[in-house]
Amino acid sequence: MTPERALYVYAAVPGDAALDALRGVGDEPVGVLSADGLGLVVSEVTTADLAAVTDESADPRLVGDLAQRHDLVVRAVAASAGATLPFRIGTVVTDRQAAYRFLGSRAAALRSGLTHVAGCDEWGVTVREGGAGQADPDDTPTAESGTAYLMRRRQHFQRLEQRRRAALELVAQTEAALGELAADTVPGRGQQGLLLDRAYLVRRDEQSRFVAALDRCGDRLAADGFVLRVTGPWPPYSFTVADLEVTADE
Amino acid sequence: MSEPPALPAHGVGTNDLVDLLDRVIDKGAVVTGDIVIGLAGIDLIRLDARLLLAAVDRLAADEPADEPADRTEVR
Repeated sequence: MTPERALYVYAAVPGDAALDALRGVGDEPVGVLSADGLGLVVSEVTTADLAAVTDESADPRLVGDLAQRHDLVVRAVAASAGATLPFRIGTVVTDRQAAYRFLGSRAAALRSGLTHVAGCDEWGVTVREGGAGQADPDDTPTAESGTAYLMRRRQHFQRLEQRRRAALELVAQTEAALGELAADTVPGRGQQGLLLDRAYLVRRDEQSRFVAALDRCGDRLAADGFVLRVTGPWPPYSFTVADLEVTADE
Repeated sequence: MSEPPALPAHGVGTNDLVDLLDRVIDKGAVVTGDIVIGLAGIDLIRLDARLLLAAVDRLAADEPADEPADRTEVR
């Protein structure tokens, strides 16, 4: 039922986008299929090669290689095509006819998605607690009165509560400062232990102000022992339109 | 990317492989294996996000250290 050869889809672009010669997944040449002012950046792929990537016995580096090739193509496209709406890694349509039908059936969503991300990059921002956690007073048993123990215990929890409030306030300030300069923002994958985990869509002409805000927030957080981490600029991977998500029901 | 790259002091600078995988792998829709799915009459195949994430976890366990930064040069 699965065809041997299919088309790997990297991104949607405006239909007039021109690409330099480029090799994608499996070292296959990358091209643009255009219709009605929209384009899909694709290359041929052998479906068995792609399926092998997720095989549990396969070398996990295959996923890394696939991601890097996907990213390389999306970045090259973004550099030459302007607006670029990246697709999730591993999106494949069976053939050119399927690609054109996809363009046709999702044209409105693709157009609004492209408009949304035009001229923007994505930045990833996380904040976490720096340094070691606070030692629990129970760790140091000493000969002391019950009252002294309870006092020490209470102070410990007061310190924790102060710390928690400080974190909430600093994170709220950071979110406000960054959100004001961003065109859009979405939550990150939600790794455990992070105080803040968001992706920001930022217009390139706002980049220097956004970066200055990151530095200011980072300094303030660092002064209180929290660590701001930034990755980017990325293609707008986290800002693909929801309507393009495929569910198994479809 | 016309303007000179203003990069934040708090940025680690390298977007390592785990950061990349974190972005490009589908967080939401989960589709099974390489099953062909009829999408409004379109046959569409997607890799299983759960399997991709499992591979990423194995990769992260294998390689806690830095990845070569060559990818970030391609801009």
